Amino acid sequence: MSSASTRLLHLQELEKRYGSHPVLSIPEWSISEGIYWIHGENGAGKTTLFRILAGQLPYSGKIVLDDRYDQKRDPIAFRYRVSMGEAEPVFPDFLTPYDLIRFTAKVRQAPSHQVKYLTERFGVVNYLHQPIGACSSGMVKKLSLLLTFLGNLRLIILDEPMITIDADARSTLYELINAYRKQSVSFLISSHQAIEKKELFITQSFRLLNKTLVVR
Amino acid sequence: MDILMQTTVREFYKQRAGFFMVVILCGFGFMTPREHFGIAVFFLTSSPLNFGAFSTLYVGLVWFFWNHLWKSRAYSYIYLLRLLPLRTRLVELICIAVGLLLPLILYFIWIVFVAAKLSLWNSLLTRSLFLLLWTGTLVAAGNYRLTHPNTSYTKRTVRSFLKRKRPVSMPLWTIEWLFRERGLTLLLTKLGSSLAIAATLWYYSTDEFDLRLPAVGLSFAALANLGISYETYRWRVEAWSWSRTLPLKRRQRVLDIVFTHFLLLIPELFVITRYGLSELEVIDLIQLFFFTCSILISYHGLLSFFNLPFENSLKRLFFPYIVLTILIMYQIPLYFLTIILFSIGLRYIYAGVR
Repeated sequence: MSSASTRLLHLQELEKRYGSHPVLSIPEWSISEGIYWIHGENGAGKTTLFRILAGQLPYSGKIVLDDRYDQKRDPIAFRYRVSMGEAEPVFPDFLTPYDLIRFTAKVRQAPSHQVKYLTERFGVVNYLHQPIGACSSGMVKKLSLLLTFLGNLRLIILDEPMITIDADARSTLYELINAYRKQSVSFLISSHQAIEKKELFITQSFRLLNKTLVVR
Repeated sequence: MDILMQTTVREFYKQRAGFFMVVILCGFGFMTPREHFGIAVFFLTSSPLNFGAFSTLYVGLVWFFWNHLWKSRAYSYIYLLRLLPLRTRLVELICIAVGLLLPLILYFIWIVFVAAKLSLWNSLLTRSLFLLLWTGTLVAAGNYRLTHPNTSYTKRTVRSFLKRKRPVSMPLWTIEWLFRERGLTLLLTKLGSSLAIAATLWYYSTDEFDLRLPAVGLSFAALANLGISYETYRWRVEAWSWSRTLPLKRRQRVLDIVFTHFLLLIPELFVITRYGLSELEVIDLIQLFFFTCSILISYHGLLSFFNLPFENSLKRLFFPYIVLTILIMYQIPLYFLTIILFSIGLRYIYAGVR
């Protein structure tokens, strides 16, 4: 954990319940810039935590980015800087990757050269105008990763990014993570698959245990 | 068996809830018992093909859903049914077919009542054959699906003229989704609400009435649109939930929802103008249109704020709707009610979208 002056993300008294069932209860947690690996058994609450951080789920407590952007008080500024790629992404069937990329690039104010670069890197250019409903799960996953990397971001959350993608896409993903990291973008990654040290330098690993985050 | 009933039959009624709601609203909201009786007599006394055509429409709807569902990737497990002996498998398929045809069977029971009253027993035999025919057809089609697995479900190919640059607009995507995924519900909703408006404005022209009559009539039209409003809510929170992570301004999200509802009510606007222009002042027509919008927006606010399932949202709406009708009857100005409903709706939507 970092000192308060350099913290990228700070969680305070974060609680989440589904009905009467408590899922998360994190008294306090901070990280500085870096690449963090979040471990946890199935059902430990990793996806719930990520979806909360991405602004998809309501919660009680406080989430602050860069000691400045409170997710509840500045939801837009927060979302501009935080992006999430889901483990099993779902998009409307009838839209095409082209539609989604243009939409996301527009709202995230992503420059056109970034759109072009990512589209080519992930190979989405090959099925740009094919409806999502006709894409394989791997194609949808690559599209989801592409959308996650769009914009001027501070933190990228990747929930099981390695599942369903091929070896080429996986090495592209590692290259992009390293390239973005050099531009001060940080990562929260959950993965049940091993991450090689030579591929990614993991700053620190945490485990979701008993509804809270502990150092692994 | 239980799993099949849950994943196929229950899923059918769950996913087509909006459609059945519209049918029930049309059937029991706008039609009199005499008209119901008349339709049953028509099916009994006219050519049997009329009942056949009517039932074909419903069976088509059922099969389209069933086939579509079992072709989806999530339903690949269903093909394990092939391992069952033929007799057991057919029993399972008959149960599914009967479960899916239940509304048609219930309607047929109503026809039997009418036939009994008028002693038209002979007519019943040919009509009942259709039920057997459709059950058998569905079972055969289901068995064919099972013995010819195909989970490589793909969407219809996009025709070249449709390969246009789709506008980057959430409201237009919502409408497109409704057309593609909830086409029949949308059609019936518009049919039902248009009929309600046309009938109200026609009745208005028969005597000296004030604005309260069309206001009550148009509130029915708004009720007919609740199912569609609910579908747009589901689109937002389920089909397109990832969009919540995007940095769209809250004000923009609210405007998108309101604009979507305006787009949805364009057919009603045409009908109001078509039937009301000769009878009402333009300012009254505008008032009526915005009043209809405000009911829908306030309902959507309820959904957004409380995250309610459809049935619960209707329960919550019941009492306020009675109050609204009473307020209309007590000659509270329509523009005042519209402003109040819009304010409530927008406030709830604003609080509900994060």
